[in-house]
Amino acid sequence: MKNSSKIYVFCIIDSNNINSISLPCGFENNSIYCIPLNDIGIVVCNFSDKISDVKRGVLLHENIIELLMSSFTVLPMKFQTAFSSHEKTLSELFKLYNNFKENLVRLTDKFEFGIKVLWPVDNIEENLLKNIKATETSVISGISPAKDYLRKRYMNYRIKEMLKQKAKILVDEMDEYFTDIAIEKKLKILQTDKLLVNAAYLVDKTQKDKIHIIFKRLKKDFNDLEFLFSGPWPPYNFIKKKRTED
Amino acid sequence: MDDEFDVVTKSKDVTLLEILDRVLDKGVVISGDIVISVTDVDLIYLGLKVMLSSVETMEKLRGGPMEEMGGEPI
Repeated sequence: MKNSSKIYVFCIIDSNNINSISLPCGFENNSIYCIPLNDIGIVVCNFSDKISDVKRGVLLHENIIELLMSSFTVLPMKFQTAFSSHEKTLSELFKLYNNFKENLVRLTDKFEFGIKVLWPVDNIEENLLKNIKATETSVISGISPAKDYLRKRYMNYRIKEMLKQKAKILVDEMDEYFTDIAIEKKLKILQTDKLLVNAAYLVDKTQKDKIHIIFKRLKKDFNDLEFLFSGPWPPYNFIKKKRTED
Repeated sequence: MDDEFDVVTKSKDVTLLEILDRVLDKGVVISGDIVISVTDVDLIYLGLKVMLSSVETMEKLRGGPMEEMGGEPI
């Protein structure tokens, strides 16, 4: 192990040693080790002060966390979390000890999985527009440019609102499929026009097989939508944060 | 550096995008007392780009790798 003074933090685990598992090297080929924090541990490696390849760095960060996840409950740190020294790492993270403990207990034997769903928004929008035009009773020929402009703006607004409503209904319908297995969930609807929902669900490890069955049903029942399923992940989306705990 | 990368088995772009979607601003979000310099890349910008890219990538991958994933762990 190089004796660099700076410390890169990968995650917090529910054990104060990692002797039971074999891990690859961390940044700059330095060993990965565990700093005990009472009965839990901070998994770290020494490094200089820069990451020269972001892609490799991100993959390494995630890979180490995933390897640890197979043996421990993990609280992954955000990529790029680092401290200037061993002492600083301990003192800063000790302030969060109670918060770490609460999260570790709550997230034991659980993992998250993700779903991104794309919808054919252009087609849907086009159909909505056709429907609106078909039901419009007012005569639109011969109106002034100003009124025509306002009319178009209003129609645009109506379509956006209808899309939001439709999205909400679809997401609620899909969400129903996970009611029995989801312990917690995070749903972000229409982060972009095409991304109908970006969802993360927290589930118990024992439910893994059920998830596969649900995915297949969803794909079959909503065959005009595009799905991206991913997981199991460490519970990135379900760590309850406290900024300070002095 | 190659040794570090050899252990990483997740090479599909879509997987990387999913990882980035998580590791850049989720998990335990605290500020360390040092800032890590990242060569020639602004991570905030990267974060925004990831969101857009992932949507485009998903569209391109219709029936491709996504289909293979089909709910399997990646």
